[in-house]
Amino acid sequence: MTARNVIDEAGPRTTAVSDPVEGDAPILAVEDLTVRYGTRSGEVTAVDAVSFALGHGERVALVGESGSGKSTLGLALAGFLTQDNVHVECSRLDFAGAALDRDTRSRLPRRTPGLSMIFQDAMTTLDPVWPIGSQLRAVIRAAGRADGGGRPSRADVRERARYWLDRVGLRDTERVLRARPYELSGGMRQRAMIAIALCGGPKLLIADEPTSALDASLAREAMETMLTLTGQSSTSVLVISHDILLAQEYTDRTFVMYGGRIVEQRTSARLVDTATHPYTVALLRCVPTLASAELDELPTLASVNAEITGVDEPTEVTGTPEPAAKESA
Amino acid sequence: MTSTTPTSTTPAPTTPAPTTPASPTTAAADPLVGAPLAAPSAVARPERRGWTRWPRLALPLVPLAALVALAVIGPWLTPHNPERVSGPTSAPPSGEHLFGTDTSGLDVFSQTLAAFRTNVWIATVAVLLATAGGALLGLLTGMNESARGPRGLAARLLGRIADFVQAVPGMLLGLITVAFYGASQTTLVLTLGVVLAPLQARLVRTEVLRVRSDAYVDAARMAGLSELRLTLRHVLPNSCRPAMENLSVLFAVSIILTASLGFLGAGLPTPKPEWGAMISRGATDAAVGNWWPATFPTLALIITVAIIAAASSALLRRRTR
Amino acid sequence: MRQTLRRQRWWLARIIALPFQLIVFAAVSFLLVHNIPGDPVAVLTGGQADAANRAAIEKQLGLDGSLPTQLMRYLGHTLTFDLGHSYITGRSVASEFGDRLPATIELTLMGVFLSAVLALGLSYLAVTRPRNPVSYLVRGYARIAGGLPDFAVGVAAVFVFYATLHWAPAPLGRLSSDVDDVPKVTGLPFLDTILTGRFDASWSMAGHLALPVATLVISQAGVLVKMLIGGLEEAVDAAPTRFRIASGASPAMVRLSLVRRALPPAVTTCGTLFGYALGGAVIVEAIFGFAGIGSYLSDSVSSGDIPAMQGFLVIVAAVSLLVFLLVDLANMSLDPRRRPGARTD
Repeated sequence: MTARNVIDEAGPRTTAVSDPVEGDAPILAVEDLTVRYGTRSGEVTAVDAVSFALGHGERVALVGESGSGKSTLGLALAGFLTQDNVHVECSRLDFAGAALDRDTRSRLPRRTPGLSMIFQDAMTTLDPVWPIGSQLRAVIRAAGRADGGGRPSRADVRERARYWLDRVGLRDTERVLRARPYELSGGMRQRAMIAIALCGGPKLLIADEPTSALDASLAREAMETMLTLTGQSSTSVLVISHDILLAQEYTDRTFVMYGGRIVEQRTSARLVDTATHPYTVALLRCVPTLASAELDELPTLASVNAEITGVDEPTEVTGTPEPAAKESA
Repeated sequence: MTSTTPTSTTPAPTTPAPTTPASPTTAAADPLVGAPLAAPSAVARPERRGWTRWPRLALPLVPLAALVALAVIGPWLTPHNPERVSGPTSAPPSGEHLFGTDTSGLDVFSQTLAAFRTNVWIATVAVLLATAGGALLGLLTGMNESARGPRGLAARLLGRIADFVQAVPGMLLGLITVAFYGASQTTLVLTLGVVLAPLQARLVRTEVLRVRSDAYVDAARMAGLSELRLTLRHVLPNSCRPAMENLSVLFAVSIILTASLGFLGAGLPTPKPEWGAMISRGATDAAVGNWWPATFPTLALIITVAIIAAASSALLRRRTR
Repeated sequence: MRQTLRRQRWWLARIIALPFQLIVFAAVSFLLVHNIPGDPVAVLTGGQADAANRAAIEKQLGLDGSLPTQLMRYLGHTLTFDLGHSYITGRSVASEFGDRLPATIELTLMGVFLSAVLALGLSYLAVTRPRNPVSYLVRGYARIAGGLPDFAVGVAAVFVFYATLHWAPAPLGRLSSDVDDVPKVTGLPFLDTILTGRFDASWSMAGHLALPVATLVISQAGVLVKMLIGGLEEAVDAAPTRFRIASGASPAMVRLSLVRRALPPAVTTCGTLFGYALGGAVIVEAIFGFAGIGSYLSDSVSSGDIPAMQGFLVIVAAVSLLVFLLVDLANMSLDPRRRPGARTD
């Protein structure tokens, strides 16, 4: 098996828009999404003609190293790339059965109804100046109004805020409602963030590195809380992560992103057996295991690459279909 | 998927050999930084350097040089004696009087030109004084304020006094101090220095508090460097940058303050060429429709401030690269 | 009760500290003035005083006794709002200020308030609609911030709108000469015209105030706009803003959250701006012939009236300290992390 063959098979376009869940229109369908940043030394393509689809209630992991464009992709989907020097293009972007139409004049992003997002560090993500309760109630009120039920009563909103804290496993409800983010522990903050992100009843949750700021056991707890809750409401989830094992364990499918492209789309449970792209293989081989603990030196992407191809020059192996950076300067 | 261009044609990354897989700490923060596996998407071409670049950088410095030249030789270029009556009163601009004359018959052109020396000189010395004093104050308070005993107490007291000086609007404090001690170039410079020093002290202090606990300072202390040399060698160079960046703002403030004092009559005595006093005298002219006596000194002042701002931002941009 | 006290300590402590700060300032200004070269008695009598005469005058001026005695006496008087009497007119300094300060404060407040409102609106527009033509103008204006001296703006305004276009009334006071004076209620001239129901005077005064206030706003607001553009731009892309939007808070709530997080540095700048505007008000009063502390200050400065100038320092410091107190309290309410004792890890 040579690297070249694999590339041709696993090229992003050949597997684009693979069938998500049979007989169901996808919740999110993306075709040829490209994001370019203008920098001082020219344009840099961060996301290069990415296409995929996400089914209702489906959980997908988007993994890749930092700089692979996975976070940029998440921000672009949520409509947060409104900066002057960022250009987002796509031939199709459908969400919940309708094409997304975004106001490009405003620098302040508008919400895409039904699309919620959580971020890496709850400490920096939660609004530092408002109590948790206020942030939770703001979302519940807006969601109640959007449902067409008119303005929900104060008591109703309060009741739902307590209910949601309870659902994410925060027992000390009254204190948490009054507390500001910096007055809570890391794990509590993470749970509060999940409650706020989900209490508006989203159809799709994009989780950008939801666990990177937590230690291993807290990360699992947070992941499980998040997936239990989204499972109950059959909310689709797109988990963006660099932790290939954690992502693979909790999701239905795994997308591997490299150099701005999705180079591999596989069923998570069978990723280890079916992965064909050399980058994915290399990523999986780098994961520390009990066996690799015996080694003098843990494998790195570079060493694995050299081993696979037998070539010392690592850049040769990385051979993505084509260089993503198109400098126009 | 036709082209599988070898990556050797892609621009050379800044970190040539990939060493580690994605590190979680740098992940997601900025999609443009860090491409350990030489991912071509995130590679920025290194800045071109060389002789083609320097004229663009030197360009903003040409007006600065002209300004310095005017401040030095301005008073010798005047066609008329700026402190003597040289023609009819309130004459509009003409070949004889390029900028016209004011209500007492002084030549506006000569006055404006000669005032470059007064205003630029006062502002420059005041800013240098304020920065030196402010840096000293900032270092003293920043290094000592959390110390126990009399040293810490003295530092905290010094900090409070600087706060108090800042509490009074600079122009009013200047007005009164100049009134108390009499108007001269020396009092103006000293007053401006005292008024502006707390601003610089605050900037330096903030940085000192940050730098003080950095590892290299501790390392130097462990190595047995005396507290004084430690402060001068390691803390000062690493904490003066915001104050340096503030120099142009300070310069503008002190030029405007000098002129404001002159405008309110607390500046240098009357025939001495000074923009603020000229604008003040020109104000009465402007109210009856004679625009020239106030316009030209105002333009000179605004252009001076703009030149300094442009030059300093050009210099600072070069230093950051 | 104790619990309540502890929770409210952040602002109570700040208010209690104010009088002490003021006393320290009064002492510092006293010592500053005491070290001025020159002999006030000689100034007052033209150098003609004999020994007995001198002692009497010194006693009258409060210059007898040792330095600590003088200082304590001065502080005691200051605490009872007695700022001494003018060397020149013999009138009480405190009452002179009582007559003039409110008018200046009103002018200053108008300038600062309008600057703040305008700066917030303009910078919000410049940040959220970067391609709007107005936004380019706003950004250009912010770039020259601080480079527009108030006296130059004022003189230019008089030249253009009074001398050339004749749109504005003559720069000779707050009221046109054909409008009767308004009785004093609060001392704030514009407020008084409304309180006494003299709307003809309100109208005339508004016309006279337009240029002076515009002068203050144009020369001061730039710094604020620059500050707010920076703060808002950072806040637009900050994680809390994105999370607020993504989780589904209402657009109004998103804007409120955005502004609340971007505001504290601008509020601090507003406090500093108040000081500048107070200085600017003195200049504007000179240009537009307004009554206020400006003319009193120039008179005292030119006649070397030390008690008046000393009183001026203390009063201006008191006003500034009060403004800084308000700024601190505003910032601590906007961002609770700024309160003393707030835990931020």
